Amino acid sequence: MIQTDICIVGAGPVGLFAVFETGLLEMRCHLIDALPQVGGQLSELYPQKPIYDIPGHPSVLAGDLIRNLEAQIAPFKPTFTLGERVEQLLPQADGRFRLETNRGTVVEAKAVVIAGGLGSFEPRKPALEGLEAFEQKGVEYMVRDPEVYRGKRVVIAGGGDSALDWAMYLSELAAELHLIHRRDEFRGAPDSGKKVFDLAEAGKLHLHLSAQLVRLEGGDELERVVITDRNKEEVAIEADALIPLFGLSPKLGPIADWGLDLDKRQIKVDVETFETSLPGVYAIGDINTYPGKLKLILCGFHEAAMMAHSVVKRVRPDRKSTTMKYTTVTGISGF
Amino acid sequence: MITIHVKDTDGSRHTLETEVNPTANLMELLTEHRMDVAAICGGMASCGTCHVGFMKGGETLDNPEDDEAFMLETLPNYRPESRLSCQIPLTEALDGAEIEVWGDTV
Repeated sequence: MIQTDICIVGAGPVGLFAVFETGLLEMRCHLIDALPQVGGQLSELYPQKPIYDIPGHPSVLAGDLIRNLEAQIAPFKPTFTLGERVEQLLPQADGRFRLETNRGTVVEAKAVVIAGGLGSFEPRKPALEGLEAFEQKGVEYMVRDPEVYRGKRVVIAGGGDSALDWAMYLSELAAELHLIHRRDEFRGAPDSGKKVFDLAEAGKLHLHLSAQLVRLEGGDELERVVITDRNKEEVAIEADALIPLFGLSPKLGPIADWGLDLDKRQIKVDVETFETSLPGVYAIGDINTYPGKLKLILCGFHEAAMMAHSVVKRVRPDRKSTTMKYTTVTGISGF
Repeated sequence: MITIHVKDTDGSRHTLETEVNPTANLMELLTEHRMDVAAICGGMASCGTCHVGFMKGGETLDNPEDDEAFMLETLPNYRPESRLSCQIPLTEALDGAEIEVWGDTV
């Protein structure tokens, strides 16, 4: 079990900056994020796009902002659980909180800060008869361990970069690899598109273009993926595995079940403390709402500072002074 | 003024009227009227959550730029009528359009 002062749910820009603000007040943080990397939507959706409204940065690439934030919080030695989603938030009798992830990681913290944006990124699922019945029985939405597919008959659906990359990679391992794409060309990296066409020509993979998934068939395990070809005729592909790769979409997910007061998909907070309706649980950044809320990174940074000066009273009641001090005066004292 | 007919995800139908304003886009109009559009990336064609279908009037619009086309292709519920509303400016071309809010998942 991981013990910490504050468990931050969500490692986007605001979650990361919360490490800095709470670190200044000598509190340690552990962050959990469903994505395999930090940065939230900045890393996942638009790392190469510029942001123009970060004070002091006339323009900064989203990916660079995240790298700078990582450097800025490094003195406070945050710890991370990445690629896992928090399922349970359980208040304990002693005032602490126990958080449990979908992969069994347990964190115990004196306070919780939810900086979850619009929730956790989940794979987009195709509309397909019988899909859910075959999840973990042949259907997976991400490749965790490519070796699982060695010698298997694998169908990948999708036309983006990850579909192309995995099609190329798994074509070496799999007994048969089929790539289903709804158009005749790929808009992913042009180089990858060409390699996939070359592999198809060399007979290393089967390319089904202008094709659509229709339904899945099988008993206990997946046995066939049925598609329509460009002539709208059904084709059944004998398969052990289907990997639909249609990108990721944020879902509020389990946060909705933690007993917090919500307004639509946002968590209501007190604007002096950024505490939610559950004492000891705070919410900052895009996931919260209050009168006049603006979903801006800079507003999230402000909320992180306000939150830190409130949560310190709970986490460090022994601290003599909670007066705000300028970093220019005190410098940065890491742990 | 232009008029746009919208079917939201819950099946409710709305008629929206707005001034022509090429610096604003359809996603902004839909969120302003509290349609079920999450628009989480805020208009960068990066998330697909403002996905709509043009049941009528789509042919008068400019074709999607690469960013939009790439995202549309990724969506599991893509159809030939699909567009990202954040990439559609509020121009005369939208007048009389009939759209359905689809979002990025099925």
